[in-house]
Amino acid sequence: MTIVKMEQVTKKFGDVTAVDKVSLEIEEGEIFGLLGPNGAGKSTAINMITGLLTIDRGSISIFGKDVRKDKMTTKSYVGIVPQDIAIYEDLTSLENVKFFASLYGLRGKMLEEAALEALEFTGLSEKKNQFPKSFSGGMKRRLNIACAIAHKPKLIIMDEPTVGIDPQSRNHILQSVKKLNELGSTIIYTSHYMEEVEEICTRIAIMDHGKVIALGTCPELENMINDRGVVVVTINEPASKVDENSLREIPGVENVDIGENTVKITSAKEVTNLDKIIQYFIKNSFTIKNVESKTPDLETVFLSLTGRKLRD
Amino acid sequence: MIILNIIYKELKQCLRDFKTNILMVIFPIVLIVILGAAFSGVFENSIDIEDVNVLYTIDIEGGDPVFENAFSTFCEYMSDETGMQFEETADVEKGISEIENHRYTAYLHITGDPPRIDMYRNKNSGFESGIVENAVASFLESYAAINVIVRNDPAALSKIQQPDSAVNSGYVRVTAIDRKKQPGSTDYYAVTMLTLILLYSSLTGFWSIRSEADAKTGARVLCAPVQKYQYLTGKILGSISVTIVQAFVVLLFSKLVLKANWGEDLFTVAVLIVTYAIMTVSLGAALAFIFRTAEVASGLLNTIIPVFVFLGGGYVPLSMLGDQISKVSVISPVRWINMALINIIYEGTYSAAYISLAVNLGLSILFISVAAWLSGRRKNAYA
Repeated sequence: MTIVKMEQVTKKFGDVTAVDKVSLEIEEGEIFGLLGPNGAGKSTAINMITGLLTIDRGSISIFGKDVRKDKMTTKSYVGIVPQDIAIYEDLTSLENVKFFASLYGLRGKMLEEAALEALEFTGLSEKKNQFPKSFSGGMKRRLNIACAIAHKPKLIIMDEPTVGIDPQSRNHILQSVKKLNELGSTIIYTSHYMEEVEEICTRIAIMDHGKVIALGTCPELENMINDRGVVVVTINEPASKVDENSLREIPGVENVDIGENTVKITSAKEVTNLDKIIQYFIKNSFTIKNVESKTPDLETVFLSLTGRKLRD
Repeated sequence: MIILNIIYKELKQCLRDFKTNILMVIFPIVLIVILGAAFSGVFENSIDIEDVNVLYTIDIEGGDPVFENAFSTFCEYMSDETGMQFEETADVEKGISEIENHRYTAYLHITGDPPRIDMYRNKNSGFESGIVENAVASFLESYAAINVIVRNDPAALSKIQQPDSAVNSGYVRVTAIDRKKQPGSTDYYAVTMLTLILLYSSLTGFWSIRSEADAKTGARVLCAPVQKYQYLTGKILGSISVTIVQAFVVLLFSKLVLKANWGEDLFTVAVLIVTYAIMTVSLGAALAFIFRTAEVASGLLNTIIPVFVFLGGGYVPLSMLGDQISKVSVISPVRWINMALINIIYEGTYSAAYISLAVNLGLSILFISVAAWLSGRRKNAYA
């Protein structure tokens, strides 16, 4: 069953087209990843699904209902985890969850139980009477999620739910996403972290400049660039000293991604250039710690399709 | 139900805001105490009657010796007993012009048969001219009684040649001069500091909307099945409720502890305060949508509030500020609420209350309409 259907959806802000004729279908039970750099149009697309922004052209339906004609009904199906933590610092965790759940029509005992269940699910039961002021970033993120799931929505939209938190909290959230999906919720998940998307998403759409430029499962997307190979060189020195342009001049090299101590080089598979790449590092007095040949991952796919890193 | 949930949440948040509650409740109480003590001399309820000068013209065609005699006796009596000064002029225009130039407390123009007294009051001497008015009314009452006695029992006239003998003989009961009630300094500042702090409640309305936009919670609420009007209504009603609670704490404290006079008609006083609170909160809500940045809106509020309060006689009574300021003060809603409350409490008159009600409700409707219109128009007004 199709849960979300976007048809030729367009949204403009003045002269800027934030979303450009996007068509997507998200099926029941999916964890659908929406990937793209800042300004790609992800949040605009999400805000149109949630009814926060109006649609200029095209249509969006949720469970077959048009978000413009049946705004209140479609909103009631959705639970949103906003990118910015949107909770009240002067209400306790329980009061926060109860307030947001009450907006979806929950009352009395049912409301209390649902709120406690959501806090239990996000591991915040013990903090139910505490104010978020004293919480760590990870705990606030979890409360942000609890506020979105207490009313048991059929569709949960998570907009970068793991930004700026510790690995333990991130892991907790990722497990929660999987569990929510197992319990029957369809999830739209946006993230800057490729490994998260690779780990949990069943299907992924890559957006850039307001358009969907690739759509498929993770292996399908990786196959799009199976004619390319990736070499990761780890050096002792800071990788910022590496001259990207010199590496790009080596025959076959298509992309160079410079990390802290690593340089990730994507090349056309038919060209043998590993010796030339290593020669560059030796010639320029870099101490090579490790050289690893990898199959293209989502990051490489993204880089190849958009010409830039996800966090650019 | 959604509106009630939002109001309940708003109440919880506002009542937990310790700093704001201190500011809105303790601050006006402290100001009432300080200003009440500092300006107690200015609001001294007794005045020196010797400063009361009355100009009069007896303009009765053909003359009325009985009246003239009685009036002359009245002037002498008042002069001897109270020090009030009476001076006669034959020029009516001069009499009126002297009053316009504030040189006399009152001018009495006596005409007709039976005699009639038209009194012109000095606007700057409301209290003193009130005393003259009462004295003249008392005289006219006595004179009417003497007139009846003269017609029916002329022999009795010999017993009542002097006003005091008339009283003593029981023929005439002179009504005591009913001194017009005036607020003491604590009474006055209880009213004006309450209306001052209520005007600052516009910031409560402003931050109620703005803080949700800053914290992104407003956008989150609107992602739920909540209409914009429900959200806006809940927010404004929540802020109004909190403001009213704070206002009544100040009112009750000033009445019960500081013994400020809030008059007999507490119901009308409460209605005026509630409508004024609605207006101030609505003003803040409208500004939250008009201005994109909090600094501009709160800066504007912090600038106009002291001006409106000054023009409303919040710091010193308008009568001390002269005619020009008095004329400009009509633009300040604070003037109308202050005047309405003082008039209800001390004169039992309601004409200013009707104006204040109309101003408060009219502005509330305007501000809420602006907020509703802009919230509907702006796609990201809550984000």
